[in-house]
Amino acid sequence: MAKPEIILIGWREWVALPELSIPHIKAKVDSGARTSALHAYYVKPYKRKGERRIKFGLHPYQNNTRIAVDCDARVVDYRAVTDSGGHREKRYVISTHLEIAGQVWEIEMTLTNRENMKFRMLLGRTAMDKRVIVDPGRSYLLGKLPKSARKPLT
Amino acid sequence: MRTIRPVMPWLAFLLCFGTVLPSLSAEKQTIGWAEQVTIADQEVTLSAKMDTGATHSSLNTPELHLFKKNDESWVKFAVARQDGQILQFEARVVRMVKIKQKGERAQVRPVIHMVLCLGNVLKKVEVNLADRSKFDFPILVGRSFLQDEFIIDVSKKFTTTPHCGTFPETDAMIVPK
Repeated sequence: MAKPEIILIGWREWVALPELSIPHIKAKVDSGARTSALHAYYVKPYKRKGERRIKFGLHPYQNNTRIAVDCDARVVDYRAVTDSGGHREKRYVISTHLEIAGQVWEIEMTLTNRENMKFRMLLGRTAMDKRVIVDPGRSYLLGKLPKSARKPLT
Repeated sequence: MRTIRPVMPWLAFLLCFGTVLPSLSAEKQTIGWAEQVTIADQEVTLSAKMDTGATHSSLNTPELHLFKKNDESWVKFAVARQDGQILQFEARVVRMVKIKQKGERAQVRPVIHMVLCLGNVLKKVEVNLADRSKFDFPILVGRSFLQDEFIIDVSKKFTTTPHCGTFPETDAMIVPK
């Protein structure tokens, strides 16, 4: 089987989470973080046919609480995570698809309230391993999303 | 509360950009997510985490003392070498930075200039002095150091050892015993 092509990305990129119906979300590419993180302003864990799942709400754009996406994902863990400030918190960990430059692969992400943070999503090392490499001096190598595309279609 | 509809034309637009690898990054060196760095004219070697999520670098200094020198703000702090020896440093405070953490009161930490050596790259950058004693790495290297010379491949670590020329004179000085 051919090895996946390694993609060069900047420290900020627009990526897609197709299983969560999120076609574009700005992510901070964070080599300092082991696990990826995704904003959730509410979480509702539940079971479906014995499988642990979770419903959660996401405001995908910074400073915008009008545009919201209701998501549903598979839960793989509930564990203590330490953030960049040394603050420890128990978080749900989901497994879902990440799409970058036409390539799709499964990643784990912890759900946490990032309402006051600049980036709704952090892309951590386990998601990047053997898939992407990072140029810390450049941004949006995958393309920039015009602000007009962020509004929902009426 | 409105739900967003997938925007297919823009997704195709984004995908087109992703298939072309920019050649501008080609001459940079690829390093891992953790590397050895030296500070203070190669007196101190530390294991460093490359942090593309941080603008500036951060050094573990659990105890520091602010004082005035010639009407300027200075800071005295200690750094432990890998052999366990403690070295005292003094540096001029460039500015104070407010570090905002989730659900906690903002902390104010001093920022100084330091010269770091990673591979054969020597650069003077801003470093904030933080309490990193709970963390795995004593120093984080941020984007202001890494940009222009480095690409980070997180599947690798400790790919290089510091080998720079003489350090230029710098604000952060070792205090002689």
